[in-house]
Amino acid sequence: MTDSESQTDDRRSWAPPRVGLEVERRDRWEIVRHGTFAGLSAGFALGFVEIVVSTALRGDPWLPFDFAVAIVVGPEALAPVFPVAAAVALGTVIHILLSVLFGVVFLSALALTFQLSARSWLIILYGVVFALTVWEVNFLAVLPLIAPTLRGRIDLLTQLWNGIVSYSLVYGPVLAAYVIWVRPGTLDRWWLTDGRDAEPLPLGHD
Amino acid sequence: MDLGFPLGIRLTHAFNLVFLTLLIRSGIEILGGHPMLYFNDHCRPGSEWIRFTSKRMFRNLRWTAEDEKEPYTPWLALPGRDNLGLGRFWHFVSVVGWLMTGLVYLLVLFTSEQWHRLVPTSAAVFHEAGQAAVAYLRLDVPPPGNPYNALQQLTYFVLVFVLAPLQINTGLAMSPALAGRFQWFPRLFGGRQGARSLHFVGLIVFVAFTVHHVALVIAHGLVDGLAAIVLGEKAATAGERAVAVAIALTFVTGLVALHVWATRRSLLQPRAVQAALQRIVDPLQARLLQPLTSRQSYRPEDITQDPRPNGRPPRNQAYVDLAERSFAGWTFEVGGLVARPLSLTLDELRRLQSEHQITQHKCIQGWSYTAAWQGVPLRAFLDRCLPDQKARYILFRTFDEKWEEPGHGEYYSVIDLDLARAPQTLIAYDMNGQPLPAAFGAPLRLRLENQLGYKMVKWIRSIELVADYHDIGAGQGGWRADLLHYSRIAPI
Repeated sequence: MTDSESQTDDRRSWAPPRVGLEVERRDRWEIVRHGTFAGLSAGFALGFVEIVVSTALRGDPWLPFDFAVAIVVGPEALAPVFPVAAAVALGTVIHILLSVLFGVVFLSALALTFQLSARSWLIILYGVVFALTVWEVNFLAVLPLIAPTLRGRIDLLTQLWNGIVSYSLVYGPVLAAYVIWVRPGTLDRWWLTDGRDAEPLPLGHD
Repeated sequence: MDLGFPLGIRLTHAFNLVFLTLLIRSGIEILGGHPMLYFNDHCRPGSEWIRFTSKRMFRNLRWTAEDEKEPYTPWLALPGRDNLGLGRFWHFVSVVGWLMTGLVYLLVLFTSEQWHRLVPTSAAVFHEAGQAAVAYLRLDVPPPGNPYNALQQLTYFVLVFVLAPLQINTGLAMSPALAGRFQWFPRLFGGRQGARSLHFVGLIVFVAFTVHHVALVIAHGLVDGLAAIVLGEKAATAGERAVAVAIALTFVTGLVALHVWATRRSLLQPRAVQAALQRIVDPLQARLLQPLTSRQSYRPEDITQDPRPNGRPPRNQAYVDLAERSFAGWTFEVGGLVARPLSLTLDELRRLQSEHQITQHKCIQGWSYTAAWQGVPLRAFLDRCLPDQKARYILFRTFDEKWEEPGHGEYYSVIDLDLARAPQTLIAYDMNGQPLPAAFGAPLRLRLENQLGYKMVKWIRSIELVADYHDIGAGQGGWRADLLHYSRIAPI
């Protein structure tokens, strides 16, 4: 808005006095730093669970790595002859990078909507819903666009346990647990009553 | 028969997108007026289940509800920057557009065979929906339906016939006029605050549906989907697909431009926007809701302990002096277009025939409380002062010099003469069995139970009957209408 615009209208030139105690602080680098840590924590937990589930369901601990690599190199990564070391190396990098990216997105979304200081059960709910959204958008919308050859290549059990269940019960809750444990950007917990407010009465109040 | 995507379906889909996005953004602005949600109508600080603000208030009520507002960014809210009045106007105008779109959609559905696209006719739909869900889980696409598969059909059915009516009804349940007349109605949703919370959850579900819908459209094939919803072509040629994408991109660009225009114009020329939107909203409010008179009757145990105060009491010396001596010797004046002007001390006023009522106060910001009020019906003053035939409005003048916002005149409000004669319209002097505290409007305040709280003027000094209000203040019918772009009438 230009200065001339601001002079030509009938907007309020004043703002009522506001009182209150800040309970959240938005610091960009703090959010990125904690988003990275949260994403790493959740990413490692998700990776571990996916390896366990793949071993239990298919007897192949490297399957999650193969699918991650297939996004980049195509369905040949799913072939038995594809080198395990290459799959683990690239798969780990892709998995961790995406985990961190989504961790930062989660923390940013919480900060943007003033939810860093929210009740714990709400943060867990946010984690679950966020993880399910990440799963849905990634697997139903992004994957068909960037790797259409993978369509129909994942069996139901793998998708159910390595996908929905792992995301909603591991990735999301671990993200949430990090926020609840560390409370980044939170200056005060608003729902506690500690009786330590000593601010003066606003003028004119009885 | 092949249901396809006829013109009526395609057009209402486009209009739905326009109005839903306006509703969501203006709804966020309204949420900023009181960024906390409750499942209890007392709204005690700390009892909210969710909040969208960076601050909390002091725990000893040393603040007013105005302090709790959160000015949201115009990138998110329409118009943003603490413009509750204009946010409400945009919301209500968009509601009108959205409802009309919905009616046209239902007309298209039920005047043809199109209703088959949404309404399941066999229990097999649940089994087929399960099969479709399995296909999606396998990152596969289920066989196409007519035009939707069973899972899509069930989802759209719930959206159109469950979620949309829920949003309409929870929105209406927040209207003081409707809730005042039909006290049972908001109780269907757990009270006013339950309705407000469910209304918010409904908004989240609409947003979640949109994300899910777009994800599945991409999964099914974005360009084919666009060709179907833009041109109605299920088997489009390459040229038709290109045209569909071009139209869709143009539409999305136009939608973004509409939001930018609405936001900027609201922020730069709020009075012009207020006037334009008011021309649509106010006649509807006046006809549909204003005539609903209040019949509230709450129990003494419903009374809220330590309710929120709103607005800071006057600080001018005249008021402070009067308050110190409990307004002894002060007289309440009734004048203007009347045959017999009145001048009554508080003692004289207390000797008049009074009424007692326990009612729910509903603030425009969103919070509420229940209190007992004792006072003289406003109609009693009108009967005594004999209004002139030219009198159409009542002007309330106050002690409130609005010291927080110097240079913007003293607080005043105008109400229709009809409202003054409505049941439960009081000039109240007692609250919960005690003389009105200064924070709640001493010596006198208006109770107008089918309106939002801001119309219930506090710190009343005098009233005048007038023929017109356009030459008073900035001519909008009240200090808040003049300065904050609120509506002159507030039955919702």
